[in-house]
Amino acid sequence: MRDEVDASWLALSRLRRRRFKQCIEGCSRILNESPYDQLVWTMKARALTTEVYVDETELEEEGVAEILLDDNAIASMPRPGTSLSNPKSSSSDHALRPVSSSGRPMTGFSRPGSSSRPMSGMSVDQAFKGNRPGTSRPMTTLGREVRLGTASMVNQSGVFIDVEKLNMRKYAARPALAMVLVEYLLHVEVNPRKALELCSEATQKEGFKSWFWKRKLGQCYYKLGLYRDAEKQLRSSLKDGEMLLTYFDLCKVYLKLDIPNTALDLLKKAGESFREESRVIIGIARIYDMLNDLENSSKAYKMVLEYDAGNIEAMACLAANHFYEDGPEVALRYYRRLLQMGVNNTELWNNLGLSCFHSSQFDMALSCFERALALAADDNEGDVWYNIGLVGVGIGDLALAYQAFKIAVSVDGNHAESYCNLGVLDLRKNDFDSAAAMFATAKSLAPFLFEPLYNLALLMFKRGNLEEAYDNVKEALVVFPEHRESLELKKELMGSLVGLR
Amino acid sequence: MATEGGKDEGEVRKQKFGKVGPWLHAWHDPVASIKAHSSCLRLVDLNGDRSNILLVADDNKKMRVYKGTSVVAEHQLLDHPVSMCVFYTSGSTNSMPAVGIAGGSYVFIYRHLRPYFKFSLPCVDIDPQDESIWQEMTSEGVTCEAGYEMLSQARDGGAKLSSWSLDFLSLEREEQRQAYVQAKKGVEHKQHTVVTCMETMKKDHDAEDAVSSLVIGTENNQVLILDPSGSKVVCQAMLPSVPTIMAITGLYDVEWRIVVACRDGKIYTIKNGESRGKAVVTGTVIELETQPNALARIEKYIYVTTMDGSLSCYHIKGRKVFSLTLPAPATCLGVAKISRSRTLEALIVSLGNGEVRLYNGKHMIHSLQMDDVVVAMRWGQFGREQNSCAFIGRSGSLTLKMMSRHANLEKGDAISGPPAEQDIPLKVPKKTKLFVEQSEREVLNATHMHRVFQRDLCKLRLTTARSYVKVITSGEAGVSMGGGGRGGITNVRLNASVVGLGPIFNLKVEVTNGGVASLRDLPLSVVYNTSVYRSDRPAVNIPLLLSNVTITVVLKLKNVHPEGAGENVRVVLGNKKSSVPLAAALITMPMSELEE
Repeated sequence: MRDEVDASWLALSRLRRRRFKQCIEGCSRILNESPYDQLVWTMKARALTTEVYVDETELEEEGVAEILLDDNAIASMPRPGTSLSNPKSSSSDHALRPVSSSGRPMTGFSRPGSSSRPMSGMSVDQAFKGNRPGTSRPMTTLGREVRLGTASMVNQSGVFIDVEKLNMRKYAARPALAMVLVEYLLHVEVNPRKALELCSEATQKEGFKSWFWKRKLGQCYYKLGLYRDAEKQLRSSLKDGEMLLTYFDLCKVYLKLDIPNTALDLLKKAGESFREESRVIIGIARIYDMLNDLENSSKAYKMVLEYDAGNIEAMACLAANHFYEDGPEVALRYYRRLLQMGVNNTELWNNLGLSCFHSSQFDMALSCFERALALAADDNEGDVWYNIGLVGVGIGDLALAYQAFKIAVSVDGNHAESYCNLGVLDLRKNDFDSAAAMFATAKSLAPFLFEPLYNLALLMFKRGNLEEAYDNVKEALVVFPEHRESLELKKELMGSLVGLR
Repeated sequence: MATEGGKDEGEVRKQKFGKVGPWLHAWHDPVASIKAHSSCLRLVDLNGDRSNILLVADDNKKMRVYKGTSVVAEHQLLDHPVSMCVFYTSGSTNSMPAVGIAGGSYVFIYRHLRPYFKFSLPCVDIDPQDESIWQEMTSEGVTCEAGYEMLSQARDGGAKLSSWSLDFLSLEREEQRQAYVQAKKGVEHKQHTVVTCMETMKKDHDAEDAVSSLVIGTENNQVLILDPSGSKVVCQAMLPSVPTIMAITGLYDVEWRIVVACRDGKIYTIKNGESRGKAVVTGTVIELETQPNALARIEKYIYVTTMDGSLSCYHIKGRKVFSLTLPAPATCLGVAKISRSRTLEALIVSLGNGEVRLYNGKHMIHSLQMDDVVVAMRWGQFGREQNSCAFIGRSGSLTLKMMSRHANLEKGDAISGPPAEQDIPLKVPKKTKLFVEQSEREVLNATHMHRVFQRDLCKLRLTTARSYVKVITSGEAGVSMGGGGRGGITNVRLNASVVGLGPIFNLKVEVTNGGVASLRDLPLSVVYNTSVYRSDRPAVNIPLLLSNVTITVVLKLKNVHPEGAGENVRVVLGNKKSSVPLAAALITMPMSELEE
């Protein structure tokens, strides 16, 4: 019976049911017989595109080249709060909340691009290390784009469309085909230059009036790194047709240009046209997060939940905010809600355990950690053990804490926080040499943490090594300028260093 | 360049603060490029026309004369100035003062801004041992080598050597030494000293243009008082340390007192002795906790600022009166002497944060924020304005301020009582309803919760202990227990990182022996999946690992996976005596770039 079904209908049906591989196979078969069947050609192109489609509205991980050679920022010394690389300092949070490598407080949701924004004067080594040394590291830009392209080509025998031989003018005359082709060029071939050629032809044909082509032009320019041209096209596209996605594209361009306040204004304007659109509000919340403006970001996340009660990102961020602002019982509620939503991973169980422990619901706390451990993979097991260690410290069972931190370190050799705490435990055992070595390791692994620096400084001070103590406390103050204990230690050190006797 | 901003600024400040500060702005030159300290800055009536000029001995060997807002003269100096003083040599009215500029071991005396006379500091006695060795060396009584030996013995014996000897001892090669001795033949062996500070002392009466003489502090712990003409020493005193700052009061013919801050962080007092021309170092010694950086004297009190950022006041007899902590270390001190119906003296303190403060006793009267950190200042008459002050900024800027005639320099109303912050309530987060509910639950189910928690805790301890044992036996803790079962605990840390983009990666492995004993012959190898990586040298031998020395080993790995996938790699530091590795590390390898 199946043989009687029309092959192109079957392919169409498969495309709709998102069975891309089968669809592509079917299309290839038909195209072998009749290579000029436009319908089938379109279907195949769409299937290939959709298979590798990346949601362009999401932020993206920045490549090494972008981190190191970022010269798009307008001001090299921006005022606080106007740039992503110089966000408002939030002194009180620093001590209470863990920070990412750029010194920004952790948000409740791990998303690309938010934490790897380069600080000024980042070295090549640091750029290659990524957020957490060893566990992740930025790819090269081309690496990311090319791999997406090659992955789909491998499954395919022969080249589907020979890009170099395309006559752009011919395609531009047929808008339906051109629209499919441009998506294919951008996502499958990853050839923004060719796509740009097609776009410029097409937009000319449409008399510079089509929002679609202008938006695509903007995207091509964005991929080529010509952000100012992209901005111009996207702005113009918005005039022809106000589309939500165009707003997101433009917002991304502004973030690349490091003018977050303009991006915020843009999203707010989009919010006026597209009311009750949670994606706009979550975009606003993310930018506030990047600027360290936790108050406004929490407000925005709350608003997101009003429109979209199932938004996991908003819930996770709110939970984290509550947890670090001394409201573990509220955080617990949010995490429970996440659990009800069907999220079931190590991080969530770990956070649940911590919230339970801190809001003194002891009967549930430890079983949560057990579950977290059971689900843990290599990259997050260290964090779970670290938290178990903290529980050990909390209940005064230092042997348990010591073992847990040791395991954390062995699972994740770059877990600087655990090294730091091991150092403190060593200090309690009067094992000064080992403690100093632990702090030094933590310091080399995570120069963005102030705790190992301060601890090392204090240890050196107590052992009478004033110069080293001074160097370390100075570094600690670079990381966290308002740290009171460091300031006091520095003052005392200054007194000892200028003293005559 | 010059701005007449006095009035505007005053008005702005009036609006801002409701009252005008004591300082009036006169003139500011941001690009005067002056490099000088307070003792090289003087306000003086050089022409006898009662209109004072500003005299600056710049560190780049220039003397500049500011009259009004312009430089009227500039003269080249012969040496870097240490201090510049203005003194009157004769008592007749309308006499021109002489300017003494100390540099090296000389004081150059200028009249009418022309070089007039040079006073050389008296030579210092040379250690007789030193002297005799040189005599023998130059007359070839002993060889150069023997002389060298004798001199170094003398040095080790604690003798104070002359500059010749020190230079000679620092020569490394034999021929250089011989050449040095040759060059010294026939030259008289003299040891000069250098000026460290210089001030003036009035002779017999206290007036602006009264006859005065120079007082010089030298590097060999001496304080010399010259006669008014500046040609000979009339009085001298020996201090235990090198004088650096002096403050002088009194008249030479009547009674005088010199307060000297020395390089050993102590303040000594020198006063006139029983007979004329005799000086006595009194027993009053003020010991400072840190090095002094400025000194001033008002009436019976000595004010001193120290490097730890404090301003202390001592009575002339040595008793400490008070000590204030300043927000930043002071850069210089000055005394503002204002003669109105009664003479009033206030202390001007400039701070490292650019503040200029006015103190009356221990009460701060006023604080002025300058654009630049003041490094030198001089109070006095400028032009016809009696109460002026010249400031030199760190960037070389020159600022002139005047003291307002209406300025109230009496003790300000000090704020007493508790600080204002005490009334602001702390931001204590309020407890949520949820919290109350949860604590109720706790109260109701206390026994149950406790039991469950204890059970879970036991379980957790067990899980942890099991994992820990696993970690130890695989050597993964980075710290291993008793490798080889010798009973001794070795403490070897392994820290590995990946460098490179691929397909060839460098594995940087840092091995540190945290234990006390050194370890030998340790094989270090990398374990990987052969279908993903390839290495020409997967194992190396570390011959010796000393305690607390980090050894870095670089291993090359090539990614041979067709799609550049990454896979975990283990680095293992083995031990010849046991199958349990000393330390091991698991490295997460990144995805590799594909080979072109």
